[in-house]
Amino acid sequence: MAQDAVADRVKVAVEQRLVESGEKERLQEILRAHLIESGWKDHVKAQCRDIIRARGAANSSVEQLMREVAPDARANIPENVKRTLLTRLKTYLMENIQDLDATPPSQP
Amino acid sequence: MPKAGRSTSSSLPSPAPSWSDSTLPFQTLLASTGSFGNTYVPPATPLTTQSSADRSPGAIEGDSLDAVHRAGAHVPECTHLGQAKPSTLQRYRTLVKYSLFQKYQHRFLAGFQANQRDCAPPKGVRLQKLEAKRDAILARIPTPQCATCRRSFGQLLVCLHCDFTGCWSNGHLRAHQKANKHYLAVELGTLAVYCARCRDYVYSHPWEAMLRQERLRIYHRLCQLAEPRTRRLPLAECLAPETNNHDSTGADGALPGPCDGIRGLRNLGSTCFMNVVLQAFVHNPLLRAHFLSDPHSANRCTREACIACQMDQLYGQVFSGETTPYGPSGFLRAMWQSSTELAGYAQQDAHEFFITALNQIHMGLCGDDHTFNCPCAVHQTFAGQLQSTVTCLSCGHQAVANDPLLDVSLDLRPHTKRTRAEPLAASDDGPHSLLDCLHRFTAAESLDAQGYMCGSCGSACQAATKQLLFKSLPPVLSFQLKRFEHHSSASKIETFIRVPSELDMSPFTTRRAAGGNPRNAESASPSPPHPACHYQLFAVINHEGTLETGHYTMFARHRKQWFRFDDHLVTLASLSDVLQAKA
Repeated sequence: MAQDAVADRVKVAVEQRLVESGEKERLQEILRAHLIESGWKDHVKAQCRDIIRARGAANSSVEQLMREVAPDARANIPENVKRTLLTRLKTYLMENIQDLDATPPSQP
Repeated sequence: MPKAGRSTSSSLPSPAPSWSDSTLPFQTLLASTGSFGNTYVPPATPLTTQSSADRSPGAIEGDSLDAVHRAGAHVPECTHLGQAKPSTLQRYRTLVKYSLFQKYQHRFLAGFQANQRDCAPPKGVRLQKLEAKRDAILARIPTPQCATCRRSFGQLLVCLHCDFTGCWSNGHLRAHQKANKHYLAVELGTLAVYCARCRDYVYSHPWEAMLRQERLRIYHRLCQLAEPRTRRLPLAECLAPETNNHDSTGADGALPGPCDGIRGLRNLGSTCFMNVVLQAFVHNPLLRAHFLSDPHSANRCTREACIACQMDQLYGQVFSGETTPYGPSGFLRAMWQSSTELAGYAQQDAHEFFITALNQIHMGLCGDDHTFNCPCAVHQTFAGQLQSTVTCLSCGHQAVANDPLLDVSLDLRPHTKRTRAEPLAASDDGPHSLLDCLHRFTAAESLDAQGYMCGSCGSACQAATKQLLFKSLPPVLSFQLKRFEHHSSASKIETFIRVPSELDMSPFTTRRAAGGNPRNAESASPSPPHPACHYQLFAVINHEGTLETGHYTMFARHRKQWFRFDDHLVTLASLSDVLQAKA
């Protein structure tokens, strides 16, 4: 239990660090470029459009669309994209983790 | 009628001042990639669109176009948003500003840093100062976090009624909305507004207009940082017409005519090669804006067989509101008169026609052969520059030459030998996507030893490499895929080449190559994509059949909807149809 709490705190702190350093945006940019290049984005977009068109825009909601598209879309992410991002994330964390404290962040 | 109809009719005649013309989200500077090629074999199956399968004769008719309009108009504005207090809108504006700045703060700082680097050699002191500045900004701008689980990843939404921030995936925001009866929230990543009463993301015109303004503003600043020396329209000029436009169309719900800009072209006897290129011209936003602003009129023109006059007439016909197919016979006759090799009823190569037509239009507009830095619409739209760098491997001397380009011809043959300098190059069996082709196009290739003589060390028979990069990118980039092979016997390469709907050209420019040392080049820390290098696909020309005989069709985007043009036949198409147009 206590370990879980520590793990959660670390996770929160890491996420915050990623956002603040701009690394998250860079990762996002890389991911976006890779997904566009591999055709994934166009595929998912087309899928969403087809679903909405078939059902009519009035009857579609974001939640529903997510439920239908997400599993497929997640499974279709190319392996090398996952690997690239994971490697990069690991490298970044290895370089930046030393001074990271797991204390709860102060309330804004 | 929301976005789909608004942009074209009233705002057209401005000769496209870079980004205010774009109806796209803010990241596209000039929203256009002309993908051009005598290439694709269209899908074997009929197009899967709702209304077009049995609709054979004539151009697209009123009711199927209405379907397009309805598709956009299906979702009414959210009434809850309309009733929201002005203070809520103000709150939204604040949050938009915060979120956009928060998102791009590093790019702002990086851009600043890059400019510093360009101007002066990097000094440790200066960078430290910048870092201190960055930290100060970071301290002032809080990182958004879910108030319940403190996550800062994933979808975060901010309540528009109070200061609560919550995450979507764990349902913390919705729990808050339920408990406090707050119903409007804005998502920080996309800046879309979620309405709990509608249980969906919603929009309303005033809010959209505000969002667009703020996005333009921040985009303007990003562009300014990326290219500080470029002259741009002042921001106020770009913002003002946008808002007027909203008011005029929003108030009385005025719609442009249903068929504006969509018209089939008759086949005048093996002229599908011409029809596809003309359709590509018609749907090219820059050329369209130019010719509809009436710069060239047949009444004032004295030239014989002037193609520019014919272009003017073509646009007039296409935007006349007529729905019957139009036969561009005047255009054909003018082409026949001005270029002998295209005369006759034989089948022609669309790419040859494209190049000839561009030259002829240029002649019609300018009246001379001078093409460098030409102010005419053709060169303003399509002209870029290639830089070819020849590096002598023995002395390291670099010879640089610049070549103008109107379009890019990409080779599809499998490489016989891989070059070591470009690890990203395509796999051995040839390219599979447009990006593969571009990587190959810009890869360093080794020159034949005999063919090169170094100007610096003066020794012939030296090994040297040659690399092509884009020095300046045209607003509309046109690619041709070289599918026809002429070896001992001519044949057509049928490989499917994937074309992305969005393309970032920055890796292929000289700017990127110069800025990145080898470590950077391996995407260790890629600089953010340059806004001016971002392209969107708007037209694809396909060829089916063989080298000797075949048929051209094309896809083009018109008001965010794709259409398939097959001579006189115009049908709706979806993005997936366009991207899957393959062998």
